[in-house]
Amino acid sequence: MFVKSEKVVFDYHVQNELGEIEHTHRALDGVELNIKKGDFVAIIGHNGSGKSTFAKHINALLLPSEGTLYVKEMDTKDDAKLWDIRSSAGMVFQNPDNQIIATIVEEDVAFGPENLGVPSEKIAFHVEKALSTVDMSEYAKHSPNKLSGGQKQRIAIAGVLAMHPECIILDEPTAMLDPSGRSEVLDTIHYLNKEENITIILITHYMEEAVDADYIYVMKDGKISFEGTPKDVFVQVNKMKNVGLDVPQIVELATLLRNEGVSLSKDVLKVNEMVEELCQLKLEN
Amino acid sequence: MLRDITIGQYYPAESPIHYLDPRTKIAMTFIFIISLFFSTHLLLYAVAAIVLATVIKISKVPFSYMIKGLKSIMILVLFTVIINVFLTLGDTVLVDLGFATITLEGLIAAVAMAVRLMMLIIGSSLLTLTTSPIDLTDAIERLLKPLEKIHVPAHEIAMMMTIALRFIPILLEETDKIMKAQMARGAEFEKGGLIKKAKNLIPLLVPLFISAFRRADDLALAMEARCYRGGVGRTKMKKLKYTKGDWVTYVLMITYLIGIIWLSRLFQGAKLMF
Repeated sequence: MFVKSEKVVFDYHVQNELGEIEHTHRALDGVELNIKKGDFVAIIGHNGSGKSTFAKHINALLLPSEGTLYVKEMDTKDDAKLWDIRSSAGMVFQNPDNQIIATIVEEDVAFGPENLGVPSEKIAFHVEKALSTVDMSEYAKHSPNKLSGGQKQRIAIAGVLAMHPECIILDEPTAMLDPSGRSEVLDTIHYLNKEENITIILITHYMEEAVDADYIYVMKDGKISFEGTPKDVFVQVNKMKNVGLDVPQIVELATLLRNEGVSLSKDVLKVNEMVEELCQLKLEN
Repeated sequence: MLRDITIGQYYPAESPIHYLDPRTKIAMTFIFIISLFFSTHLLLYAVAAIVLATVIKISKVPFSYMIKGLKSIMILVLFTVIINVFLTLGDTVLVDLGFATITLEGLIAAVAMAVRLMMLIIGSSLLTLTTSPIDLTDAIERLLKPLEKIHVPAHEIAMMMTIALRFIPILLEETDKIMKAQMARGAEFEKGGLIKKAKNLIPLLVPLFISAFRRADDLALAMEARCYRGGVGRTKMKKLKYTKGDWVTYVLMITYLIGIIWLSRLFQGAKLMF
């Protein structure tokens, strides 16, 4: 198990102006989950469901109020392991502008390895490799300001990659991007998962992005509401609506068609699967 | 409108000056500024001007770029000239206006001051024109490193400069956006007197500050997630290294400084001095 969460609870303290705790908000309420190495896991949920808070726990940016979270068998509460945890489970955030530190692309990618104290000669090599993995080598000397959102997000991914993580947590990485930027970023993370065998934990509220995951956790009110493979999760249309989420449009369409008496199989999740099913039906008639 | 402002204008070119170690260039700039303050005779200004012109020529930065930098301080130069012309006391009165006199000494002092100021600005803008901001911050970090013993936060200063350089264009863009958004809601930024204008800035500054703090929060989190823990134990991808050219430059600059000091002694008490 790469990530193992045992009854993780996290309380936000809302303070008033005097610094006194006014009330406590339970953002995570006994989260239990296990993520295997090499998996592509999606965590979906409505705004305020606690999914981002949980993501920050995996990187030890937040520590559980109760319960324990293990990353690679290391307890995130263990101060001595903090940097090991952060370098093996890298994190990419939502806003592409607010996570790029340097004024030159390659300098920014080098930021992680520099912090880890990697020798100078090796850093240049890691940076070059990370940039070519996300297909941004030609922009190495550019300023990040002139890049598109999708490109900036790929730079952020390269910045994490340069630290050689085993896992990358992406906290709504496409929320601020246009459709072409979204597909750029998704292609990149799928490539990393398949070719580099990096565990991907994708936090998202776009159902279409979760369809390609190996496993999905659905969160509501700080709890894992239900979980399963995309096929198991998305067929439960009513359950999804209950937690305030939509199913992918194709699943919705398939359900509507099924209600009208078209005999579609339950496995239709993507456009090409739908096309195939419909062609099959046409052939049969 | 706001996007026209650029800080630390870098003019990329392939010249020997560009290839010098940024530390050398900082030292060069300081030596040049010091030499200007030793110059007490018009001839010495001529020497400094020739040296400056040669360096500009080698740097391949068009002279029009230097002039651009001068424009912003023209008012300051003008002010200095006027003060010097009217307030310098001297024996050779050229014009007597009754309430003030213009003397030959005053005129010379004014011209000298203007030339000194302009060379100062051109000399230091040459540093930023030929050195990329990153190299500059690296050099500052390295130059301040010895001062860490007396608790000068060298790494932190350099990191702050890097982040500032990264976020200046972003915040300018944001200012532009907020301005337009507030104008769409009926805000006026141009009308009224000074106090009115300052008051009008409040709807611009409040959202800008809030957003800047939010960005700072995000950035701090992102830096922590990437294992940032201050300057201790940190390595650098690019190390600064002195080459032969740097040592040659140092020798030339020190020779120049000694020359200027020697000449200024020689001309002590000569005419046209101030």
